[in-house]
Amino acid sequence: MIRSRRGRRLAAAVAVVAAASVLGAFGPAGAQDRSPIKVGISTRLTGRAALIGDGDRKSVLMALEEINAGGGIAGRPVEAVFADNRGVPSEAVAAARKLAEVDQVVAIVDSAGSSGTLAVMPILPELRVVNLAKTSTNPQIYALSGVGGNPWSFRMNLDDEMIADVYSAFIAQRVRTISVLAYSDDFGRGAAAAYRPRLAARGVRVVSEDFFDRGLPDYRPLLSRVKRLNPQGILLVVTAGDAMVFVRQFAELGMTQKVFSRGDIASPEFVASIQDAPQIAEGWMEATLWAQGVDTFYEQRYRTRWTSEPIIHGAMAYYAVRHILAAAFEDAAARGGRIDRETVRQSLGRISVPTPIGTIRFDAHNQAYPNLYIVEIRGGRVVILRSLRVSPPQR
Amino acid sequence: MFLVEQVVNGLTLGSLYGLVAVGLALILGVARFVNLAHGQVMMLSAYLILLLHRRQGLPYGPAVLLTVTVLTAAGALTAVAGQRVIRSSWRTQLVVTLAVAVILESLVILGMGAVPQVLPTAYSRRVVRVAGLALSVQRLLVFTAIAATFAALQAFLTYSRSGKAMRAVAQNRDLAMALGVDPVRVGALTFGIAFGLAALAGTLLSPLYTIYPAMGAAVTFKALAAVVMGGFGQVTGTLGAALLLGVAESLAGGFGLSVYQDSLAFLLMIGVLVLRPQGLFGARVRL
Repeated sequence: MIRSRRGRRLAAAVAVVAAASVLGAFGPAGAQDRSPIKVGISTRLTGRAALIGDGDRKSVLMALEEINAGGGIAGRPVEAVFADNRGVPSEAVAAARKLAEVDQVVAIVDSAGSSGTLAVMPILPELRVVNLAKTSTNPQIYALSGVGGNPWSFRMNLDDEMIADVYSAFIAQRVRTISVLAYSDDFGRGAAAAYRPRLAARGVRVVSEDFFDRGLPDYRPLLSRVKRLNPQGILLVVTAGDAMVFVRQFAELGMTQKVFSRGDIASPEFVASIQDAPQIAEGWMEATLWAQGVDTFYEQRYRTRWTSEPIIHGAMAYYAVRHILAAAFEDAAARGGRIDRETVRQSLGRISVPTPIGTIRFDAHNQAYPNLYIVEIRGGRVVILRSLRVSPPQR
Repeated sequence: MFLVEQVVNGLTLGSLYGLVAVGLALILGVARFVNLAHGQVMMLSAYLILLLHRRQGLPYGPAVLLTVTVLTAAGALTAVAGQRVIRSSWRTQLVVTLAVAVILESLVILGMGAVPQVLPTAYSRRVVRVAGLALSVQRLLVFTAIAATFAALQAFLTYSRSGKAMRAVAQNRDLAMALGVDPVRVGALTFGIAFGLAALAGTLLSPLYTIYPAMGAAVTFKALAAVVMGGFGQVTGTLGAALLLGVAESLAGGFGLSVYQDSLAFLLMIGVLVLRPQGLFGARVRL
């Protein structure tokens, strides 16, 4: 027993030093890090495409609730930091900088569209942060990512050329002449460039190509022109908001061409918009990365949690966080304990994750190959015709 | 026939620009006020009729009347309540109205969501053939309503006491006040008419296009181009310029130049400013 005050102090000091030595011997792993893992979400929270940001936000929050309810990753909670890019490339760059430099996120999920992704890619090596594109379909992203020169750029969705390889064969079985109507941006022009040679190679003649800005109020001038050219089919590369007005003006002009869409006519908002006259879009087809009916578990959870309908962008954001980044974080934690930008990048290159849209495994171009779905509108409802596996491109 | 069809298409689009642009021109000419949130008035009217007609089940005609009345009253109230801003410098006007535009858009996103909406009516679904052209009844309704509206507006400005007061304030505010014209009352009348015209655009054309929170911004800038082309503050000139703009855009689309449609409006505006700074109809037509 230590009786003197001096003696007790000396004993306490020895105990502190001993405890510190013991902890020190175990190193950082012994002092478990409980700080949150921050994921950046760069999306369209305002502007014309704000419904995309809304779907992203709700789906990511749902994914994080599920991850954190299960104890987080390696005992750490996962947090999302949202940044608004409005779908504008310059704002996508500003959003990526803010997420990386101010918010110090370990990875960014990018929902800026093809133009936004292509604008952000050059600054990624400087920021040294992963940018995981989830719905950007421009083929250049494949060429420039991974062994293409940018190790920080990853993409989980198929691009226009990969989709076009499969979809143009499908189209060629149904029409011999076609008009292309597409947005005048990297999404629309990328798609048109992808289909032109593939359709030609399969004997489909492209009789016209027209590009226009998003939010065009009146498609009649374009449609009148197409009507005069009288192709058997139309390849329509637009999103739901524009397809809603397109379909009505198409019907107003009494046009009967087969419509093949590469946008999101399979989305609930488009389908809801035609319920007063479902026949106007009867038989319209689409090649899509996701549609309702692909993942009923997620869809039901989303409806219960948010009392609204899930959309493709939200679903892809959900898979990006819930399955892909979560798996990368787990992999990084299991290998060295550190979950930082570099280890997340390395882990993304290693993981193979089963998801409801197929197994996600990134190749040397940091490109994944989920399923492709061919859907058709019948009686005002979306029917999944085929689920197709897509092979890596021969480029 | 193809050309006729494109002109008809362009006149519809031009009507949308015209209704918004004439309101802008009135406010600019009479109140000397630059309203960058004017397109948002059209957007609000589109959402209001969506609520009244599609969600509350009010028949389309009464819904149009109610929406136009509400927005007209809102315009008059805005003029009375916003006197300080209306009398401020053009810099303040630009900043305040731009802020209002952003706030209104954000509020609509919060309240109604960002998903674009459609407002099909019995008139937009029914298609008739006129001289070989397939046109919805809604489109014919737009042409008729706009022709009647502008004839009435022109008669009002030319013959009524209030219309003459508006023209007097537009030409010389101080002199008009010295003669007993109440500028606040005239301002309220001007804003009321301008908001009413924007509401007419929103209610008549929404069944042909889509309704979404950002729909006002694009129209505001096209309408501003029409105001500049028509001669600042001039009603008939502005309407003519707006219709011309619509037809030019339609022809561009019809001849495979749709990607240049937006640039075309501003190129035309620059061309007019260089060649006829007083506006296309500047010499002949005044408010």
